[in-house]
Amino acid sequence: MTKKLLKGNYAVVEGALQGGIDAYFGYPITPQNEITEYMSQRMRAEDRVFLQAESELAAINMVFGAALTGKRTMTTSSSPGISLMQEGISYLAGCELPAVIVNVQRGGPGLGNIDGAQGDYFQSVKGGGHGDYRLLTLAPSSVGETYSMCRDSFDLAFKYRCPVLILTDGVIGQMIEPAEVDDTPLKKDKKVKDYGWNLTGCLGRERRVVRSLYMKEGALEKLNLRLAERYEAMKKETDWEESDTEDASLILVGYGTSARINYDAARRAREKGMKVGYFRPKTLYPFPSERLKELSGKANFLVVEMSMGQMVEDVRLAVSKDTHVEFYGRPAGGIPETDKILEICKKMTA
Amino acid sequence: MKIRHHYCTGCGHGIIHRLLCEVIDELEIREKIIAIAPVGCAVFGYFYWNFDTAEAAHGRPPAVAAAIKRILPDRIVMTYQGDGDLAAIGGNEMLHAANRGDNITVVFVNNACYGMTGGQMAPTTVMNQITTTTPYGRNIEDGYPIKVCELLKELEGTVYIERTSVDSPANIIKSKKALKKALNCQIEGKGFSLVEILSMCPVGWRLNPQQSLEWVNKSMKKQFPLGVFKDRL
Amino acid sequence: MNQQRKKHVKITAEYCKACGYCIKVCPDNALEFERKFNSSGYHPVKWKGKCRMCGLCYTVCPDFAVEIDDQETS
Repeated sequence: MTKKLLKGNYAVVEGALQGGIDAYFGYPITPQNEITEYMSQRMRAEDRVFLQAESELAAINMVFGAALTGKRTMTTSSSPGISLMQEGISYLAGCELPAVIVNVQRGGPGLGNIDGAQGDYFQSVKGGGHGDYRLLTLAPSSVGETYSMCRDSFDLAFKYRCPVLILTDGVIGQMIEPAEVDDTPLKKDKKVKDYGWNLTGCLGRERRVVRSLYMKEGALEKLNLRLAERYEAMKKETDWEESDTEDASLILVGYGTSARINYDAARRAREKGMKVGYFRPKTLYPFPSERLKELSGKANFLVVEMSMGQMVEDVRLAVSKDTHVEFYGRPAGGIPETDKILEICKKMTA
Repeated sequence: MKIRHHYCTGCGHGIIHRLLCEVIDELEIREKIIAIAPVGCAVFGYFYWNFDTAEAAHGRPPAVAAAIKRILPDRIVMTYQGDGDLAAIGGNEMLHAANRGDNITVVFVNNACYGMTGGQMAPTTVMNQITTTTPYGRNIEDGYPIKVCELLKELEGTVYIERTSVDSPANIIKSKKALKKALNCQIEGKGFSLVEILSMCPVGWRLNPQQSLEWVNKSMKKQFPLGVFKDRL
Repeated sequence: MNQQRKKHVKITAEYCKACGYCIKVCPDNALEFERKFNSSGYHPVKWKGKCRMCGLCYTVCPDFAVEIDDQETS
């Protein structure tokens, strides 16, 4: 591994390349334009497929097509664009196809603004598109983690044959900081692999059909049960980061950019003698509910988000009944203030 | 073909399916083809086609096909779409795949209504045609029928565009030739090809099969003249 | 034995949906609806047994019900 000064959006590209991306499809939207722009150079230089789509609808359906062939494929967008992609994401889930989608969140609803925000938590982990499906959702909180999550997301997508969502935000996307990157040369695999489900033309085998329409009684239920089983198996991917939680009477919970603020706030609270811990889910689905429940016997929680409170609902569902869960958030590009967090910490630990 | 299909009495899809399969066998591309089925009556095309097929979201087959072709350029990629799928909800995807000159083949079945959902107005519903959503006939407030071939021929990216029909043995044979030419266009790496086929939907039109043949001949062809619109082969 | 190959219009009555397209295009008036129903409730088309074997019925049939068969007769 080497340390490199990297912008968050570029880290998406480099991570994806290291992860073996074969085809990228995207449509411009701020604050993630660097991804599509940088991809257009890098993918061509590496002799892989790049195509600027005519819309996010087309982009996600191109991803659908690429996923059909069993190739590693990705699209990126920001909140309004991800909304447009929800139909395609539902189809990817229904057809059990692996793909990676990156959401560099911005403020909403509607056109919103172009600042970093965290208003898409519900959309990401509670559905988004129609039907009974889930997305394996990863939330990086640094440029380095953006890189490694993008790199590893393809393996996860293929392991569970489902779309993987990387939920980051405009702050991390636009941030430049040192990041650990691999020095191993990029894998070049032009061969068409046969996974037993991908479409490559039926030479030497029975033809295959990829579909999400099941009209026969009970057939769709079977698919849903199969997906549910897979989501259950996914739970072993649950990942989080915590510090100072052992003796904490209050734990700050946040993901992505909010978690960075929490980290600083927890450190400063400790300096002031408050027993404050720090907890950051790295996977939002599956959510580290069990660990939060364990911690909730001894500590109360303050959930900090760049929204008016979305992940806080999952924290409340996870913890034991008598645990006190407070929320502090600022939406639409507002950055939660450390002083304000410390103020609440003081009240909650008093 | 040894199968009983789900299409209604007198529906043109059966004829077009057979033509397509015959052409694919004659060109010996069955093991190389990847087809994209639409949302609409032909969504179940894969019940009758013995080659790799996927369902796409409503209107999106050209985007799906474009990606597949770019990743597997030596395969044959075909979309099979109805008028609602291609010309209404998927208008943008059709236009841009054609404009990019993606080397794919689009089989466009135009039956002037939404068959699967019970015969509502489609973008290709002709003027004065009665459908379940134009109970007094399509008038100018509902807009004009969209002419896909005429539209696409203007785009730089398109190579072969033809409109045929399946209302008579002669036209059926012409349709087969057109399908063969379109797929050949792709095999030779020339670029975007589209065959629009005027087809019967007796149930959607509330006509009997015999009357529906007449109707294709008299009413549809007036709005949608048959012929080769572009041939840069 | 005097074996010869003879063409034959074979109709799968179960596939037929009685659209009548084949009857309409037949130049020899060699096809007609049967009186009995098939299992889907249609009166399937029946070949009367003599025609010029032009194959138009096969061409227009939307239901894969018509085949032009080489039948071995003795």
